[in-house]
Order: sequence, then C-alpha cells, then structure tokens
Amino acid sequence: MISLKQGAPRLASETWEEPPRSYKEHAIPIKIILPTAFLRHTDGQKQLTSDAANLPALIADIDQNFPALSTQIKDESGKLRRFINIYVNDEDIRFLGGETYAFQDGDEVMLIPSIAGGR
Amino acid sequence: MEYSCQTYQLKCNECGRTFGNRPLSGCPDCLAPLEVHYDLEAIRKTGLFTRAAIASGPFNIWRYAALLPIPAGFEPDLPVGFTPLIRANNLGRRIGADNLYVKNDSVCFPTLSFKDRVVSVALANAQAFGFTTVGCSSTGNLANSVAAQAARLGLKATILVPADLEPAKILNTLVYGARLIRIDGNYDHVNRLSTQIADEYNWGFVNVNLRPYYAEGSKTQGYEIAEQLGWRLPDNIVCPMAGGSLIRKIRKAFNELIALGLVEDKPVRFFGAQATGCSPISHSVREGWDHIEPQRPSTIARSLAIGNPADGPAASKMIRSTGGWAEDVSDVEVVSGMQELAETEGIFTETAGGVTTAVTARLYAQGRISREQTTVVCITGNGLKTTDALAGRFDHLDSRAIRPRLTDFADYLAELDGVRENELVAAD
Repeated sequence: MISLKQGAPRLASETWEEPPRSYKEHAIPIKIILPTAFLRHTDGQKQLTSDAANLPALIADIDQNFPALSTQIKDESGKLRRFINIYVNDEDIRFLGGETYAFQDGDEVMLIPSIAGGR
Repeated sequence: MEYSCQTYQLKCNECGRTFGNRPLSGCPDCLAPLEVHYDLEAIRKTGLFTRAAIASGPFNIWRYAALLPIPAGFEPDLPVGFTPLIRANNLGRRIGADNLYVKNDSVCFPTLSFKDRVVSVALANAQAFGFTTVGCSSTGNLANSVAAQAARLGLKATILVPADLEPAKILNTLVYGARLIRIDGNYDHVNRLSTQIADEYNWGFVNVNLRPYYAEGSKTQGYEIAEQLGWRLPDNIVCPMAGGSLIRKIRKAFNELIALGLVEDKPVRFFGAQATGCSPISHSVREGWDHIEPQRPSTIARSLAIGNPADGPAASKMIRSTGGWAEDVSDVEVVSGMQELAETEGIFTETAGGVTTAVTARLYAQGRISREQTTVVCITGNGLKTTDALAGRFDHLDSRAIRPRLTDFADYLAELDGVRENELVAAD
C-alpha cells in the first residue's frame, strides 16, 4: 500500500478561525479500492490509503499523486465521469450526501465502473 | 479470450474506439458501456438478412442470426423466442385502445421470460471465449435462464441474487443444478459484487463482462414485433424498464430493419414503464435529465427493482428523443394490472407485466397515446413465478369445499352470486 498523504496539500490550522479542512488526521486512514482496469495508472496497486476528508479532497489527492488515474476518472470538464460509481462501505456515496459526505475513520471507498443487469 | 469477426465488433458509444470481440463491457478509456456495432453494408451484401431469407429460417430467434453477435461455428439448438404477438381487443376496449397488441414473452422458451433471448446470445459467446463457468447477478428471470441454458450447454453456473427474491424464482434456478448464492442486499449490491467477481475470476458473467453480447439478444423482440405486424413498425412501444436495456435494443432493431430496407421508415414513440417504488428512469424522463438519480428500491415488482440502472441515462434520452414518455405505478396498480391482463386476454404475467399493463392504461387515459394508433405492449415474464403478489386477492384459495351433491352445488352458487340460478329449471 502507498499513502496518498505525502505531497498532498495541507491547510494551515493555526489561525483562530479554523478554515474549512480538506484533510484531517484520520486515526485509521480511508482505504480506496480500485478495479483492475485502473491498475495501469497506479503501478499495479489495487488499494490506496488517504487522509482525505471528503470526496473532492480525495479527487484532489488522486490528481496530485496519480495524474493518469485522475484523467481516467474525470471528463474534459474535470468532473467525475458519469460511468463511475463510488461506494463507501457498500453504500452508494450519493445516498450518503455525495460530495458533502465526511469520510469516517477506516472507511472503505470503492471506485467501480457502472454496469447494470436487468432489462 | 478473443475472436475476430467480419461483420460485428465492440465499440464505445462515447469515444468511438473499437475493440474487436472479447469479454469486455466498459471502455477502458472513458468507462462508458460498450455496444456491438455491425457493418450493415457487409451484412446487406451477404443477402442473409432479407424478408425472404428470414422467412425460410427456423421459427425462433435464430432466423435473425445474421444480425446477432453469434460466433462462427456456433450451432444454436434451442428454439428460443418467436413468442406470440396477440391482438388485445378486450384489454383495448377496457382502456380505450383500438389497435393494441401484446408481445407475449411470458411464454418464451425455455424459462418463460424474455431473458431467454439474451442468455442464448451471451452463452454462445461465453463458449467462444472459452469460459467454463458462467454466472449472473439477477432479480430472478435471468437466474432461471442462465441456469437452464448453462445446464443444456454443459457449462457450470454460479448465480447471485438478492436474498429477498421470490421463492419460485429461487426454486426455478436450483432445479437446473446451478450454484445459487443469496446476497444480503438489494440488486444493486448484488450487481456491484458481480462486477468485482468478474474482475477477479475467469468467469463469464452474462450481464457484466458479456453484457454487450447479452444485450443484443433483446433486439430479437423488436425484429419479431415488426415481422409479426407484417413487416411494418408500430406507432408506439410500451416497455418495462429495469436496467434500461430492452427498450433501447427494440429501437436498435427497428433502426436496423429500416437501414436494411425490411420495413418502411416511420417514427415510433417509445414509452417506458416502472414501479413507483423503483423509478429512477421514469423520474429522469419526467424531469428531462440526461442523468439518473439512484434510488433504493422498494416494490413488489422485484424483476424491475434496479435502483442504479447503467443504461438508464441512455434510455431516458432515447425515450424523449422519440417523443415518448415514461410513467410509474404503485404496487396496488401493479397487481390490478396483472389481473386486468389475465381477465381480458388470458395472459398471466408477473409483477413486471402488471407494471407495463397499468402504465399502458394510464398513457391512454392521459391521452399521450391516441386510441387509433398501433401500440405494442411488451410483456416480459410469467405470473407463475410471482404468485406471492396475488396472495390475499382471491377468497377461493381457502374457501370451504362442498359435498358432491347437486343441491349443495345450487346452494353454493346462490351463496356466491347472491341470487338463486334458475338454469336447472331451464334445462328441464
């Protein structure tokens, strides 16, 4: 496993009014699980860890550390592609508040291309 | 795990990249679903897809094999499809429709749902790719069909279903000797797990890594509708929606028939049907979105209970582009729809068919479909698989038995109907 923490932007938190924080000290970092199709962008790593506080911070983290993966999961306008689903501990992140959801210690975050069955 | 073919191959609808033929469902670049793309000019030149050539073919989906992704050397032996297209005058009278037809896939061979069409095409490819184990995530009908057809082909089957599936659909999978795994979650959970399994195991999942081939089987419903109408297209199609695939493939079939000159070009409007308890696509159509918002399914129409349909955005866009619409109905209306189709046309459909029938009635009531237009309602599954939905609807199930005596019979009739029949007197 490699950590995304190194090199990630950190916000100063010594001011009296605390600014919004994108990264926090997770007691247990969140775990990111990738499908095989993405491993070519991560040097074969299937799992990554991060201290990102939420989805936008995680994306920024990926931008920083794995730019090729970042291009794969985002479209030209920089938004997450329509065909990728993000799950947090089995739940679609859209049911948890999407970008506003605050990752909890040890959350397992899965990136999975959307493929459905049914008629 | 690849084969080459002159007339079709996988193509990404978003970025246009092509991939030959291999077990792959999403574009590695932009992650969009892949679709089988045909060289229609090459197919036209073969002369294998003309009205005459089709008419001389077998009475099943293989009469359309020239426009299906069937690998060279595959010898189809199951007579799948070619289900009845029935003029539905009685139902039409009830809902105000003069030219109403039912495409009755509740009697599709071999497992009584339209899934037999898609599975037969998927498994032909599974064999060509060399898979010895096949599987699927399923809301039931697909499970039944994969289990049955895998048994026939001598393939091992591992099937994942949501734990709360109807008992009949579980039994109808196990009987074929398939390995069935119930998952503690809804279909979307099952499907996500299947995606991960297909990523790790060398298995052919019909609706995951074989999905582009699988989905093409749905086109045969469209070909049959056109041929059974005397090689013409209807004005409207009303189709149930779960993943959003079938409704698009019927349109693809119609467009291919137009391109190859088998039918006259005319606009066909597509109408989608969902249950309110799981209606992400009809919601998207009504809002005019080009995306869908996932839902947590809660409906008795379990075969349509996909809260996050991958083909949902494309289906929503397509429906609106044809001038069609989508509606969703409550579970109470679903059961009424099942009974209405049975009482008027003698067709016992599952809950999904109740959805489609009830939505059709509503579309006529709303005036979205006018009475003289030719409309085909797609019935995709059999009521014998979802009898639980009718529990409590009929007192007779536990009514008392009567003695085998004519007087008891007459008394009982009087009790049932509230009046005494005088037929006995008339028969004297």
